[in-house]
Amino acid sequence: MSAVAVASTHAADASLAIRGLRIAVAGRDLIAGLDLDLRPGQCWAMLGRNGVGKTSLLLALAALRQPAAGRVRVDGRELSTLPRREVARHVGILLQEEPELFWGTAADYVALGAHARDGLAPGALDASVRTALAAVDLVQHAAQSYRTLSGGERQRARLAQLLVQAPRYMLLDEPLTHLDLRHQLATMALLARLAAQGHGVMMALHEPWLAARYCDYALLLYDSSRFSSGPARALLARESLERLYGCPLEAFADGRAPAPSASDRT
Amino acid sequence: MRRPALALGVGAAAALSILVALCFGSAPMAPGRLFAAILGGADPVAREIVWGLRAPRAFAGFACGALLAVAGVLLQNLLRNPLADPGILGISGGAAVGALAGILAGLSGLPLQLTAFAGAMGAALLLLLAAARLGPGDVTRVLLVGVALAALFGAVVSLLLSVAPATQLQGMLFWLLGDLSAAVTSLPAWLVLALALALALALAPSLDALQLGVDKARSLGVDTRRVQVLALLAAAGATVAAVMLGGAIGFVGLVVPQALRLAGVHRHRRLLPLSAAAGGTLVTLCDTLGRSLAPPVELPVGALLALVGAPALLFLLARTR
Repeated sequence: MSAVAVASTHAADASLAIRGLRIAVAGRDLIAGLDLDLRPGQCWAMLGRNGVGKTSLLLALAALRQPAAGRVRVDGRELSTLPRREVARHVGILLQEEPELFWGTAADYVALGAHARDGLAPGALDASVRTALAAVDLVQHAAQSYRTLSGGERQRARLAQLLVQAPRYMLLDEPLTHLDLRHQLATMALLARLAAQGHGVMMALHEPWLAARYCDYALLLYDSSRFSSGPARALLARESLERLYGCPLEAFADGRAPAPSASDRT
Repeated sequence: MRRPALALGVGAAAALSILVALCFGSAPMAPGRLFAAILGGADPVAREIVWGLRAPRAFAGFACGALLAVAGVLLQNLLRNPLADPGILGISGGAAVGALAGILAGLSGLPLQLTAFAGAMGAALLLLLAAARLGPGDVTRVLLVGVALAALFGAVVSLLLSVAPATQLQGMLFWLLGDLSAAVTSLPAWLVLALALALALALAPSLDALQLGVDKARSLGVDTRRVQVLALLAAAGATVAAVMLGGAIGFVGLVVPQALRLAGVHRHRRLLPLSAAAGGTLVTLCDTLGRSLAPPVELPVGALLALVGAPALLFLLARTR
């Protein structure tokens, strides 16, 4: 992963910061009054029920949706005032699956991540694409038509595209969608490694056990105005998760990460 | 196919199509006289047939096909739909309404061209207004606006046809079928082609990213609103210029980009020029066929295009995944 470079200079106040953020969809407040700092080196998991506003929050953080109120700043600068290319160098996002009309190979798809990386020599781009494909275990599919990849392979290609984009802050909307268990674990390990290398990583996730294991911090969205955030292991306890999802849970054998209780599995 | 091989093949076919258009027509010529005329020798009649009649027609057909193919590439990208085509957005329909109204009013020549131009530009402007009003992300609704416009113009065309006297029907019908016989000078069309192609090529990397959807393209650093407005402008201009030359020629904008994509061309930097060359080739060849098959009758190039193009597309679809 060393070739996926992070912007090398970190300002002391480097962060993707939101203050008093309010997001409204169809006239209804989805999120109201949220403050958060995503800093380089941190790996955050965001959890909450379906429709609570995880995707909307990530889209606002990526400057893809205008918040109803509040501000989003990247390294001290107002995100909404920056040109698109500038934003793309700081913030990248793995979106939930959407219909794509792409006719090239998996490698071509991944290479599109370099759109905002000016002056990247063709050789450097190829190397960056190869490294990214290797990081997501797609090297053997590099020359395959993107349209013929499976759902999980496409998801990994999307992640590789984000690696080529190499923004300081990486936002991921359910990065484990379609992935088998092995690739779920590999992806979580990769994201934790990216954070350790100096990226700020925030992902919307539905797997508290993986969040507790791989992420440093968690943000729980209970409803439009009640959130809690803090160190992941402390926060992802049974009672807070039962409250978060509104269903009874039991602890895993290792006593840390909760799972659905036996009575719910039938 | 290897990249240089495909580009070379398309380029050679383009040159060959012009040559074929110079060689064939309603007046058969002996090979010796023909080649002398092509090289600028031979008798004045032969020279006039080759360079005064066939050449302008060949260049007009080529420009027309190239414009339609470029517009097709852009519209398929903008509307995120491989079925998008200049005809679907009502621009050809607007031109048809203008032209038929002009014919009905007894116009011909330049005034008739102007009414067609007004119709096409009117439709293009309505579409651009809808796009500006609905915003960049709402491509489905822009597409539906175009479909609604096309249906509206289709209805007006039917009404105009039903009230037109029988003497005018022949001219109207040829206009609707796509016909290059009225194309006199194609210089303005070539200028529009150069402009539209240059603009589209400047947008090529952004168009590549737009294939992933508007949000993804924006997150990769594309100013999607600017790119969409400029690309739509280029597509509308190209369509108008093509329609002015050859009437409602369909199918080129749909089949040419699609065939090239199936052949593995997906980057717009290559897709745009190759589509232009292949679209021009296709129209030139079909028009030559239409002029030569049953002289003195000229078969409409639009009908021949669909006859050749539809099976070609089906063949490609069956062969590739």
